[in-house]
Amino acid sequence: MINYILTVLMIFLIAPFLLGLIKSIKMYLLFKKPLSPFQPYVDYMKLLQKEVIYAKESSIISRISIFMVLAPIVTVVFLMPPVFHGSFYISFIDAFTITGLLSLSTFFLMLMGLDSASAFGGIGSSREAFISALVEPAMILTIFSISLIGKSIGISGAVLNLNNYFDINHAASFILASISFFIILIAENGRIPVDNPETHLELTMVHEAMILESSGANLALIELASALKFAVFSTLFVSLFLPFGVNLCWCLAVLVFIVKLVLVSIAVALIEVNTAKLRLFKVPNLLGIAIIFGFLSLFVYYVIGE
Amino acid sequence: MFSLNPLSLLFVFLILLGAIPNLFYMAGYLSHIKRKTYFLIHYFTFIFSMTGVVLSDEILPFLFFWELMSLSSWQLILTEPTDEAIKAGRFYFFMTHFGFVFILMFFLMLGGDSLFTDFNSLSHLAENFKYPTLLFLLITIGFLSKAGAVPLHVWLPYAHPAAPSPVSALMSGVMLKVAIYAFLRFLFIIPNWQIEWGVIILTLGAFSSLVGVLFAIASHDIKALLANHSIENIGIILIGIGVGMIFTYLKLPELAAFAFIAALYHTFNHMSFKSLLFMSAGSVLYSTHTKDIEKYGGLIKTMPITAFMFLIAAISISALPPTNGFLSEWMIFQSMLSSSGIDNLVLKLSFPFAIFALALTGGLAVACFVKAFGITFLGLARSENAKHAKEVNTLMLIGQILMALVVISLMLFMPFFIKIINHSLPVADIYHKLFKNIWIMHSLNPNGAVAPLLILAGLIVSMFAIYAFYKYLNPKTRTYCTWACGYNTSAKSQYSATGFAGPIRRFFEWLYRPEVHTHTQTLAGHKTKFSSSLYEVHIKPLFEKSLYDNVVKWLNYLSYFVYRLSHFERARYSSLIFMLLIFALFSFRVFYKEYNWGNILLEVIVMAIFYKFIFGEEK
Repeated sequence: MINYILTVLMIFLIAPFLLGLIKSIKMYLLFKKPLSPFQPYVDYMKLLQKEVIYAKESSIISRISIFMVLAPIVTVVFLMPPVFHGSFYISFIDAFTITGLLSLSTFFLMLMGLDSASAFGGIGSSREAFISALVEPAMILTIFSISLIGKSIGISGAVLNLNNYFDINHAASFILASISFFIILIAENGRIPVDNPETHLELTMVHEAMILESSGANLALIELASALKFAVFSTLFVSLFLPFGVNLCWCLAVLVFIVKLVLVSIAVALIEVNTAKLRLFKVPNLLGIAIIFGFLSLFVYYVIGE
Repeated sequence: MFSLNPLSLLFVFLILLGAIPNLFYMAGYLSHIKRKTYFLIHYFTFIFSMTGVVLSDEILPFLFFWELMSLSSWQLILTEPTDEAIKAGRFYFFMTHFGFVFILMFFLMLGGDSLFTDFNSLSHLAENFKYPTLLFLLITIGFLSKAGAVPLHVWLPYAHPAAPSPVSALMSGVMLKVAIYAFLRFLFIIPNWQIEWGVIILTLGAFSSLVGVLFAIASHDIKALLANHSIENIGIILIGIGVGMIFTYLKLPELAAFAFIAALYHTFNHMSFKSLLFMSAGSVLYSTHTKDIEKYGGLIKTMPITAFMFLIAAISISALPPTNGFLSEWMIFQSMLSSSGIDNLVLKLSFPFAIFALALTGGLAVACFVKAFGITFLGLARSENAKHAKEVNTLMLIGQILMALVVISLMLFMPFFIKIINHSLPVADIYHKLFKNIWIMHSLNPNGAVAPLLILAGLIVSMFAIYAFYKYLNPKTRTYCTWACGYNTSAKSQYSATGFAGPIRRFFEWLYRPEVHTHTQTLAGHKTKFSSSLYEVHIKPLFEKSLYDNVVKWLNYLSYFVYRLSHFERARYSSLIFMLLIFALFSFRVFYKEYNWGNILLEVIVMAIFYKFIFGEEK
């Protein structure tokens, strides 16, 4: 039980670091003087002390949705698969609940965008609704496929099964699913090429546009929510699609886990540096690839057989 | 005449759950209605006839109450006889009787000698019936045209908005479910299900859910939006039924039972949240006097309770955990995932498409209800009506709160509902497999489980933890103007419903085929560069355009032909009737008594000779 709480705590603590790491790698690759990867912690501390300003048009939704955005993601962190063998994990929740909770968080984020009557919030909500509607089928198909490969619908069970025995016959299906999931990771977390988290240009904003009106402690909480969301997706990715290291002794397993998370962050940073942001109406093409790969992964699994 | 079998009792329970909060709401709404006696008579007849349909156990009472239900709801649509309502009423009247013809044919074919045959003996008759697929097709067309499955769904977005709000809530929440009841009741009468039947229902369900949600996003009349969403949810229910039928055919009784339970649980859930949504939308309509979603805005400040009720229902219908909508959609997903265990490879490969359709539906439903809630209740008021809106009267609020309690209790007491649903369906008893204890619901797949109460507890605990942290920080708050690019924030500069749905509408342009009208003003006959322009989008449902309009065109041709015949060429007209009579008699012989190619050939020859005799002398 204690190792479970420590794991959860570790995910909480490492989440802002991952986003900071992506940013500093990107700055390094673009020949800028890189920020410290621990910069997000400093930002949060600063934001938490600042005054909160609500738009005068805003209603109670702005006040409560901060909690409703963060709370589902915090709950999801508690449902993450075990990092090392023998660790406690919650077995009675499956992947649908996790995707559902993440959608719940997005739902309130979109409402918050519409609440302050500013055109930017509307832009962000509208685009986010569009993108997340198309992400949903890709996500479900990929999860279905990986749960077949892992022989368990619960994510934790699948992770343990994959670690104990990886069936090489299903490698093709596994790789297709992993590509699909990586695209979902990028799209859900608003990274380039789907969304650019660093600009405030109305042509490109999605996530930033929705949270444009929040300030101070509220902004800190929402930034924390998006950092946690990234951590959740990376954890899912490394546990499901890089299934090794869980059976090592606990200290090594945790180390391997952190290294895997860092690798995912580096991969995301490399993709961000090397691609341009897609036009909004080109984004469905990318998500279409994710959906097709989800389908293919399932088909390959079925055709090859158990 | 009447019987209390378990399935009937289950649906009586559903009708009661739907009707009791509605009574309070209706009492509050009554002041808005001019012809009160007229309305009340039909309203109570409507509820009474729905109960009658569910309880009746013989053919004639069933048909009587079914027709009474159709007619009373038709009259309720015409409570306020505006042009729009009369048109909607006519459409509804036609569609509901179109379905009734098929139901009647089903009973006439199966019923044998007496119209008072009860349904038990009907099932014995069905076992000896030669063409069960025909029976299946008849009940599919007959009952699903009432339930609103694609492509017989077109009347819903017209009929539901035209009725007064309490009636829309009843029609969408309860009447569609009565159609589902009738479909299930007679489906279980027909023996030897074929695999194609299940596939047909599954396909219909998948198409209905996608078409429903896509047109819901595009519609800007709030009640039409909700009516389109009913089509979506009926689609989800049909997906569950279809999966159950396929598993029954494959001799997997437990999986079939799971799918049927999922479908019926979704029936209950849809009744609860759709009624609540129609009630809240009706309250908005009551105090703003408009159905146009573009004229709303900022209503959460003046109508907080209504807004909160709408939010609960919106979260539930978007299938977000831990609400009841999520639970039933979870069950349907799980039952589809069970398809990985079946042997037929082609069937197995086709299931992912249904999963895809359901998942896309879920995603689009979230978008749709963010739009519906966000544009209606958030932001600034977009019209004078919305600015002066007031919270509705207490009775209407009580109705909404009661319905919200039904929504919440469907989530909290899920094991109880699953248990009564399982025991009232003629399927395998799997309750004890699903619930080892009442906290966690297992699916029949390895490790598939959901725990609504624990998720709810987790959400509440984490929310309070964050709130406590927030209170501990105690940040200074200020309410002030925020940056609006140097302009004042105004109702015009915020996003509209059309704008919100813009990306989705553009992506699915091939389906919507919107007619875009852009009027550019001119100044003294010259085009001006900076003129005000009006952007309107008209979306006519694809099915209506392609299917119904052509049918109407051909029917017009046909009726013109008959009209000409009957008025100017009496002899040919009477001979036509004679031909039809012979055709009907021959068909009866061929299909009902004996089926053999020689007879068919002989009869075709006889008909051809008659034809030659009657029409031959035209030269």
